[in-house]
Amino acid sequence: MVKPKHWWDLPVNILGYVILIGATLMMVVPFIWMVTTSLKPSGSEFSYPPQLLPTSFDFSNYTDLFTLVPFGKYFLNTILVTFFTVSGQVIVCAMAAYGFSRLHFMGRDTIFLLYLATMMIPFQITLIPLFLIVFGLGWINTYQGLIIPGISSVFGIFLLRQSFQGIPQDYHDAARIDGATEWVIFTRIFLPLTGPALTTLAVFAFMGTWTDLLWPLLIARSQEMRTLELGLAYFNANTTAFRQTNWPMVMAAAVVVMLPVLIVYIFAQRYFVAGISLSGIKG
Amino acid sequence: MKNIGKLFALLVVLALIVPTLAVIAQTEGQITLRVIGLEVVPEERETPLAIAKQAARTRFMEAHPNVFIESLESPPEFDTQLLVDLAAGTAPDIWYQDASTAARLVDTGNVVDMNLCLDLVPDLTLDRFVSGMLDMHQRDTGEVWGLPDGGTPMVMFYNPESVARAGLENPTSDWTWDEFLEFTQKMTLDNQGRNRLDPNFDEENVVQWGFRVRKYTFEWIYWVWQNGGDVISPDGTTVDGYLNSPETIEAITFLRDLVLKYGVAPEPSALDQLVQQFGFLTSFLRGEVAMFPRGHWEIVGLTTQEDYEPGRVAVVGNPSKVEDVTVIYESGWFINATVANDPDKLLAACQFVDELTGREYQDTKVVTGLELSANRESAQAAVEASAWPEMEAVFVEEAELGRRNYGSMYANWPVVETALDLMMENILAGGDIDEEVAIAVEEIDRELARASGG
Amino acid sequence: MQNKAFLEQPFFTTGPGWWRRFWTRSNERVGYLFILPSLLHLIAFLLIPLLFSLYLSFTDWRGTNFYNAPFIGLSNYEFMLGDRRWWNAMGNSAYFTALSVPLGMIISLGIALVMNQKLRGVYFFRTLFFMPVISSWVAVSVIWITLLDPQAGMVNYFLKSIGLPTVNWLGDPASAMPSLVMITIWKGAGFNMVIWLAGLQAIPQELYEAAAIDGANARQSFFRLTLPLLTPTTFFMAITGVISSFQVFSSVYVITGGGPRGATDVAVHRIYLRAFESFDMGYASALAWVLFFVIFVFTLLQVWYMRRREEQALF
Repeated sequence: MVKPKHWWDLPVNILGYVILIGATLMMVVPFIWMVTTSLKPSGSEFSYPPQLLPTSFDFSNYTDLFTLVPFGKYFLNTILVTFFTVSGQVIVCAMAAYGFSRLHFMGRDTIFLLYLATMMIPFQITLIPLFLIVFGLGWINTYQGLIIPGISSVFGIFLLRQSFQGIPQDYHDAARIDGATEWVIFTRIFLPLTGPALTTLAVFAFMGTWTDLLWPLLIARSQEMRTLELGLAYFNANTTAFRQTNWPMVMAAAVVVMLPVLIVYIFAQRYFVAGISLSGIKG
Repeated sequence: MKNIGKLFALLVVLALIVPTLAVIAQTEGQITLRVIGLEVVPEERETPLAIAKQAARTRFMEAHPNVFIESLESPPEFDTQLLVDLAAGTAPDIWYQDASTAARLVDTGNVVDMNLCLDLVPDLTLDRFVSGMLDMHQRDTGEVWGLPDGGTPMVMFYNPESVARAGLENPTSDWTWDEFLEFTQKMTLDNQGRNRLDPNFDEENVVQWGFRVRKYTFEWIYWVWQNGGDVISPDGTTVDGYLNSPETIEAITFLRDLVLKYGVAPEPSALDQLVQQFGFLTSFLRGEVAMFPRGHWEIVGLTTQEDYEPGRVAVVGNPSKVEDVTVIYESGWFINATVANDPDKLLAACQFVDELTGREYQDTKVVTGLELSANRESAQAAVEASAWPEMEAVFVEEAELGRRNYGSMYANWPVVETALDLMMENILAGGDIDEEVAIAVEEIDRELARASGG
Repeated sequence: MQNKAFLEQPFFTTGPGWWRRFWTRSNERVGYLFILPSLLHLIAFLLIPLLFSLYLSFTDWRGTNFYNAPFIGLSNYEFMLGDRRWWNAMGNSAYFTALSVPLGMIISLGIALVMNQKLRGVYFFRTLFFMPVISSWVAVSVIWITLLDPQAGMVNYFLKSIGLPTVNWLGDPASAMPSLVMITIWKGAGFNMVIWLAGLQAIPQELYEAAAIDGANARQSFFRLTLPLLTPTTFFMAITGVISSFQVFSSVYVITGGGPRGATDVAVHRIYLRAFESFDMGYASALAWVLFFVIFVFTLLQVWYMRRREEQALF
């Protein structure tokens, strides 16, 4: 807590809390609704008046999920795929961001513009050609098929590049005078200094990979290769065509997929926030 | 942070090694048929449907020890998956799909002409099938694209309790449009029990609606046919002169008027409000909407509802005007065209389709109650074996009056249908009929002209 | 890095002009090695598929065997000109972008500013704000469809209980898009907030202290200090915001399906329907390339505008 310096600090703080609490309610109420729905027996999700808090605790939707689906295998696959995708993405993006922000070479800005331009193409349209390439490589139903197409992200490069630009040029020049190679400057100076940005990217990549559905849907052909989100999508697939959706079950599934991400976020968020002290700009 | 460089290098190495882990297993010395359509969702694993499907598979593998049926789950987004699989050559050998989206796969040469199977498997003959459903797989040129499994005509579901509440007799299948209109007017009640024909009817407090009209083409196209109209030319190249013909406009006007003029069916937004609270089926069982058009599968939906009671669900044939006709929807078995390259595999595939369309498997349709069997004998036997013999009889009767759906004939039907749905949505929201139809005609004909390479 | 004598070898100084420029002007060629992994990835998994789809846009590929896709030149693009559904969808996308980008940026910046204050319990709030971000669109759709239900939904229940008129949120063509924007902002606020926070925390605290010593009040230090120093972040948010808003798909797909009456049928949703429901890959590719072109022009305009406004060179 910062010591109040002015008479208006207190009202400003109170206003801050009011905004915070109001906004938080908006964020959280739908979420409580989600958990409540997941605890309802199927068919009773629309009752009136709407009840925000659960009146009954029916965990059968959760136990059903775990007994009907090989969850352990799905979890393992998801962890494996997510781990390598995230590591790959952080490494590849950090290297590229360093190149684009700190090194001067011919065609750099043109190539970067090209990168940016690819962000503007809707993913749906490259889906089939991309699938055909992965198929041609013989990667259907393999881990590399699930991982490799995701190990770089233009968004990530863009994000890290902005952050690398914030590091004072002096650090760079000083290291060069000491005779450090670019690789050493990159790994010893830039990576430690940009910890928060790298963590941000890692968490974004984690979330994207963990909940990705479309790509695993095409690549994982057998049950052994399925990821969590995909397993749950199969669980809810309308295989008998006219079956009604079991919303409470869908919600339970969504909560289960979400929890690990939430936990990762809770642990990772101190890295976003630690910001200044970690980046070393201050010290 | 000192060792971050080493950690980095390690991760790079790992990222390169791991991908070599996976290997796809291969079965040797045996014919493997990859089949989609035998699996159910996990929560239905113990149901009669699931058991029947697994039994058919086991039976077949015992009779044909050299064939292994690899049963694949039906993926989410089935049509997309199948398209991608076909492009990549990873599609299943046999799959089960709605005939109303199959025409495009036929046009692109992705399925086997079942005449090949008829030659290979003497027991497999076309006369085992209900003709209305077999139609959907046949072309004038003689090919048979896939074989039917089961389906349903669209009929009229009504709630006998609601009928009694309105003091009426249950309708019979020989009713006309005029009788239907009067029936729905008398079925629409306010909270004082007055019906639509009562001059004191209270618009604000309708507690029971006589009917439901929605934008979906599959729920209104046969009304157009009943009036002697159509929406598309027989060769599927234009809607001009069909969709905007007087008969078609008249049928559309009749349905629109049920909502906007006679007020016997709720307006779309009112319907949404009514239905979203508890789901439409509950509204129906509680008598809030007394009648709606639907297929056989809804029996399963209705009888599994909390509010279900035997006296609350009945079906009747559609009312007729110029013609007594309805539309049939059906799903069937299709063999991947690539299977034809391997004679042994083709034989096995044909034999398995023979099994799936034979009496033993088809007799289980009545147990599951989702649809009518496409096997003539099974369908007839089902009328007696059914838990709802009276309803089953109506379905069998109406199936004889059914026309094939256009999705099974025209590869470009999905585009047409989307435009028709939107047209009807606008009309039910109060749009001018002639104007909306003219827009739809222009838009659809542009699409069809492009599709035919014009 | 290379010394002068090395660069003056004949190998580097002879040959075509671009070759000499290449070796003499760019002194940090090691940069190529740094971008190499991402470049290879980009070529293999993005550029090649893209070129393939560009080729497809000149064909009438509807089937599954692309070897026999008939080449039809510009026909797909001609057809697009008169395709009223497409222009309706483009208009909707523009509407969505115009609403969601500024609103989303302002709201998430506001939250980030509050979060950046050293208030007690901020940690907890920050976690809560991130919950919508990490929930799947399927879950979000169910949540909001039930909450916004005109009859049984909690939102209308709340409005009714405080005496306000209720709204048919997703069912009325006029309110469907704003509702969708609201849901999108709700889902994305936590994500954007993190990016704003990263930007805010990159501003050295000393500057604020110095400003305070000079007598700047909170308002002045926000407009004179915070906002200008946030320019790289604002720039990043605006560009990625516009790009992703023009590409909005998931929310439309799972919540409204483009309805009611085409009011939320956006460009990518239209492309998706064309590609995967009509199997009309050639035409869908053409639409995607037009959308790409539109987004590209918008982004260039933004870059140009922002560079003009802020001389802090970003490129």
